[in-house]
Amino acid sequence: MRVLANIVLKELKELLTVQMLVPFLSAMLILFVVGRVMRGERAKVTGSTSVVVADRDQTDESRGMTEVMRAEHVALVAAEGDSVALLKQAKALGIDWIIVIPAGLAESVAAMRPVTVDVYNIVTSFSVMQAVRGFALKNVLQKVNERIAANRFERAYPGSAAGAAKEAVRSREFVAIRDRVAPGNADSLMKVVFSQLFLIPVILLMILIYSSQMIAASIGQEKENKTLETLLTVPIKRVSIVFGKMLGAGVVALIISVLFIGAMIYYTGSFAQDMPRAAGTDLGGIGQLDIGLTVQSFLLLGVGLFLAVLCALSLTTLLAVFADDAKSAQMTVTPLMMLVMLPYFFTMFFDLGSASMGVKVLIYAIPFSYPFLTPNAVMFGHYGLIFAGYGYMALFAAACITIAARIFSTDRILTAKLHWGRKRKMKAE
Amino acid sequence: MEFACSVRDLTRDYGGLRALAGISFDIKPGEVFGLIGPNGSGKTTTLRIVSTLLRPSSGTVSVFGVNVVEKPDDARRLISYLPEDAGAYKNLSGLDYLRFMATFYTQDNRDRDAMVEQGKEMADLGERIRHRVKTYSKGMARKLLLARALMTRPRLAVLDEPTSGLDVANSMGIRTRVKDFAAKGLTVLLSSHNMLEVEFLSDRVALIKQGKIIETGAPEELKQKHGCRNLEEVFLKVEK
Repeated sequence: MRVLANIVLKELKELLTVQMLVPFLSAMLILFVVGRVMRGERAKVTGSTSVVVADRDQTDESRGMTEVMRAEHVALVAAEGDSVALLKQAKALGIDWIIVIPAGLAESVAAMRPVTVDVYNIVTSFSVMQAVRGFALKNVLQKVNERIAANRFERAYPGSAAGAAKEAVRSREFVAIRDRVAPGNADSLMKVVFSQLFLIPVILLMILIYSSQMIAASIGQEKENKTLETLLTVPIKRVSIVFGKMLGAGVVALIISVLFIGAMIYYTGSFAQDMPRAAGTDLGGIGQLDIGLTVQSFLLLGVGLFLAVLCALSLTTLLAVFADDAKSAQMTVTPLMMLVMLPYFFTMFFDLGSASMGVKVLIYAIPFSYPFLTPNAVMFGHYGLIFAGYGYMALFAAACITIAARIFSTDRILTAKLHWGRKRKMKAE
Repeated sequence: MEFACSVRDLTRDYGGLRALAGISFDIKPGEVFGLIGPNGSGKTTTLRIVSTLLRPSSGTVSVFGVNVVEKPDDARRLISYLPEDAGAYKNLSGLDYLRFMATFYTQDNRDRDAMVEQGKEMADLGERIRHRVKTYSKGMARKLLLARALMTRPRLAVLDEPTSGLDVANSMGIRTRVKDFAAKGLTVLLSSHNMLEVEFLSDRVALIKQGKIIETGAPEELKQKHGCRNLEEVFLKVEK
């Protein structure tokens, strides 16, 4: 235990360097900053939107229009003058929107003539949030239209419901997942799910690739610097060296995974539930479906990630045996990269359920597939797949560790080499 | 008599290439034994087999009666190996490196600290011992590594080209440390293509060429036998 702890501690000191930490911490910082900004922007979008209003009609009809806007949380700032003056005032107030209610609005409404309301949008950026605010304001104007149409209908047919005449047949949509049914539509559901999940595979991919590269570089450097030769002649079991190296890299990967998952929860939480609502999508009762990733789901995903990292580390240890130095160690990891990339792209673009048997077998055979499959499996309650996959990953890692320990116990650790291109001639020393 | 190291009919093949073609030698306890030969003659392969890093294709090697192939774990307790051009862990300080290595040789913290203290003394790096290895010059790194190899008080120190690539002052420093170590009655097996260095350090030498030992004996004895002024001349004469 003392020997193992000694090796792990050395690995941590060697791996946790500033050069290694800076890219990780930068990525996490970006997630936190983006999450924080999104929360702030979300608050602005879901809160009141300020609009400069020039009411050139000054009738009950136009005042009714502004009342509807206020009821929809639009903060109105009254202004006067031509479009140039209005733009100047709006800019001075830092308001992006101007609505000009034309003179004769009430008269045109009474005569059932269409009325044109000028809407100016001062564009200050091309951000998503700018577009979202535009959607929100268009929804408000839609409400205004509905209010005017309802008033007209009331005047023409007193005592009748305007809505019933406009939509004689209405649909009531439900979404069913597993044994749960909730009011809502699949489009809204997709938006919610996508906003929660789209980042997870990217982060899984990053962690798997980076942890593999860490252990490959560690073994490659040990060979290059000949520190491995020294280590292999000390009176300790070779299996301790393998475990120590893997445990060290595994602990680093685990620390990074936990930090990343924390950053990811913060980031996805910043707009998971609210973006579709802000964009004017009615979520209905989708929340009742209980499909969101909970803390338990993330913990399950964390276990899957840890097992995948263990598989990656053990497989990389095997591959890195054939490396001469740190550079060639990175090359030996290429096959592993492909094994990670394949399930990543597949789960991102295709549905495994409708895939052919051959593709299914291939994806299930790759141990790195399971963390990528976990978020969907959790949402649809396919826990059998998750636990079977995790068991398979544990067995795969155990097999690789056993083989790696055996190789470390022979002189193949020093003599095994892959020859890229022309076979090199062996030389006695 | 139990030899510190006994090598019998040792061969080693790398694929189709024979690196060692049946070499034999014995080292007495307390002796400094030098393997001399040009690059690629099989010196490092021999040292790696003695140090349990490589398995021989045939033949036997025992260290203080322990067969290194059959009982490598026991053999490793008796040996300390310094590879040629070896490095230390770059992100550890010299002191951390010594402590890291010493921990493998003892369970007792006081014993470990004593080893590390001895290592510090041998390395003679002053305050730089607390700095990261990546800031060391080649000479400093070599002193640290030699200190690491000797601080564990091995019964057999196996040193591969201990002064390779070092300047005169650093080479002299390393040689002095090896001499001091040997003076305490401990056994050293070293290799070098610098024959004058081996002559200075060794009680006995073996001249090796193309995986075969072509001559063995004490430096003075060999010089007299072949009528030469130094081992370089002996080697040139014998290899013909």
